Amino acid sequence: MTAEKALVFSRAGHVSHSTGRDGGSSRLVARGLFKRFGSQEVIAGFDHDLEPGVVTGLVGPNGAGKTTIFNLLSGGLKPDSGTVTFADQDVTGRPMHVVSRMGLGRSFQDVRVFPALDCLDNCALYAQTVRETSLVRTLLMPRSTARLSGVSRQVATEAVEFVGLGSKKDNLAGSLSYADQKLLAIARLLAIGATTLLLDEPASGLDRRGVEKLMEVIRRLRDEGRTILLIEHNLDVVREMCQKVLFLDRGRVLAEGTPDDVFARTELAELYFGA
Amino acid sequence: MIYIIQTIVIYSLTYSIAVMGLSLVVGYSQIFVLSQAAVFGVGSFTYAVMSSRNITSDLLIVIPVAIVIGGLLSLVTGLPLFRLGGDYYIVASLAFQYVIIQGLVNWTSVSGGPPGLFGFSSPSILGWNITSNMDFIYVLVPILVLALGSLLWVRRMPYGRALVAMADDEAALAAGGVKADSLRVGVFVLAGTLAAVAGVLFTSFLNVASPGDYGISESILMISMVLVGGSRSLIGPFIGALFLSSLPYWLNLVNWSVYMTGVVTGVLLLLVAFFLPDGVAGLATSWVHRRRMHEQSRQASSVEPSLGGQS
Ligand SMILES: Nc1ncnc2c1ncn2[C@@H]1O[C@H](COP(=O)(O)OP(=O)(O)O)[C@@H](O)[C@H]1O
Ligand SMILES: [Mg+2]
Repeated sequence: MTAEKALVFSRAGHVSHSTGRDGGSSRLVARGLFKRFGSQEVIAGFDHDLEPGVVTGLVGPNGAGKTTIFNLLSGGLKPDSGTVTFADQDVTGRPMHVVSRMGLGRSFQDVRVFPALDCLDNCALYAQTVRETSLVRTLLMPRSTARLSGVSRQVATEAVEFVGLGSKKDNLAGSLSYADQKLLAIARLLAIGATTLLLDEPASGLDRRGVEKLMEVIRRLRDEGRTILLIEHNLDVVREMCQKVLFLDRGRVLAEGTPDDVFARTELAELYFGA
Repeated sequence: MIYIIQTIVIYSLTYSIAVMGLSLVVGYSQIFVLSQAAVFGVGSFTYAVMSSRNITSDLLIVIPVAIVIGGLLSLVTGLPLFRLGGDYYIVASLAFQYVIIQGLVNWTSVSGGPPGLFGFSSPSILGWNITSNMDFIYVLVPILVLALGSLLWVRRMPYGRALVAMADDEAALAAGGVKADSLRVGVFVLAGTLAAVAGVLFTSFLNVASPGDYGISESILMISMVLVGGSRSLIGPFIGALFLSSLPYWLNLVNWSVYMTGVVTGVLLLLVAFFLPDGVAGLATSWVHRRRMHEQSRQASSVEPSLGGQS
């Protein structure tokens, strides 16, 4: 499958196919990112061109700064210096709601699905357009709002089914198992039409079967040509999913290469397991 | 007796309209607004001024004018919500409350100063004069239904879904491409607009408008109605408005002084704060919600194992 297929989620043809939502032109590039919190330098020079259509792993010990890199890349958190560009636009420190609408989706380490909404609504919320979310339009153009809302629900249904939660789409997210909540978090990113996905420890806390299901979803996303940056502690998952790995320690990339190359380096293994 | 019941109904319906939107603001944006009475008052003076200057007393004209004025005023007073978080906004809204009401008091050429305006003509709709209590009820009910219908519609649509999400997690909402600030300002303006409409109705019924009636204690009364009835629910404000707006009557009935109103309201607020965080209406909705959660997690745990091999 190609990037074309990934556009199924982009509002089912309501978005033109030339809006740069394919992996090719939506490149995510970080240049010289620095970030300190108080006296602690958390990110000390992060440079990376995320390779399109590829799953890249971001590994490193706890506190290395992995999640902080996600926060810098996905908007909201301003770096002290350096730039982030996405789809040829400077998005450094732009608000998260703007960056995510450009097709850069991020999940959270602590999942954060909306417990009071059902699965379908969790995804429909991510699929809804700015126009649908306008209060003035909701009141003055009820028919058009209802029609747009129907389209979002359609996109949401496809996203929920993609991760295998179709039979639970009317269940409140708060009543789902932890594993299903993690799948739902990924489905939301599909609903927003993300071509680049930043996944923060999607496999943590899952049992074997949960990990299998998750890997199946990531594999299919990769086959569709989406670009993925994956933070993960489970090295088996990294080995199976990632074509490329970055090893981060104390805010610096210490190594970059194929999983086998990076994991073969003993000094990194010591950093990782010894700490 | 029938007159008293009619008056209670009129007060309850009017206050319901005035605080209906506020309950969404308190419930979903989690901000306390202490300027609702000021917008209510501005709605009142919109009618008082237009009627006393013989511009018109037709509600079909005055209400839209009040919607525009109340909406714009709420937009201006709501803008700080873009910068100030929940707790700080209380202070900002308190400031707006004072500025608006003091502004009215001092703008004597329009408001008539501290005594206000009184003795203007009774309201009408397309030549039909609204005079008796029953007439007022006939006017109030459809307006209330329309307001309630609009809020229910908003809640069912994507905007409402985003409000529910906002109450839970603003960062996850932003990751979904929705900006919490605009949602907050939106419900705030909606709440203010409804309060202005209620103000028109209130004054056209009372035939008097005086700035002192819309002071801070009135704002506290209005937010108390929301808290006692229950925020987030749309039935909550009815319960709160019905009970608190008629409290002086009930106290009178048991021979308590009307000055006890504040004390009773305060005690009620404390009770609600301790025992019913979602208000009286919250009792019912939280029960339904828990049932649904319980039901679904039971289904999930009984279905899960048998699905193992199939998928
Ligand atoms: N908002 C913040 N304020 C202060 N310190 C922070 C903040 N976010 C992260 N840190 C610190 O930055 C370091 C890296 O955190 P994080 O990026 O979450 O690491 P990782 O995801 O690799 O485990 C930690 O020491 C953490 O305490
Ligand atoms: Mg982390």
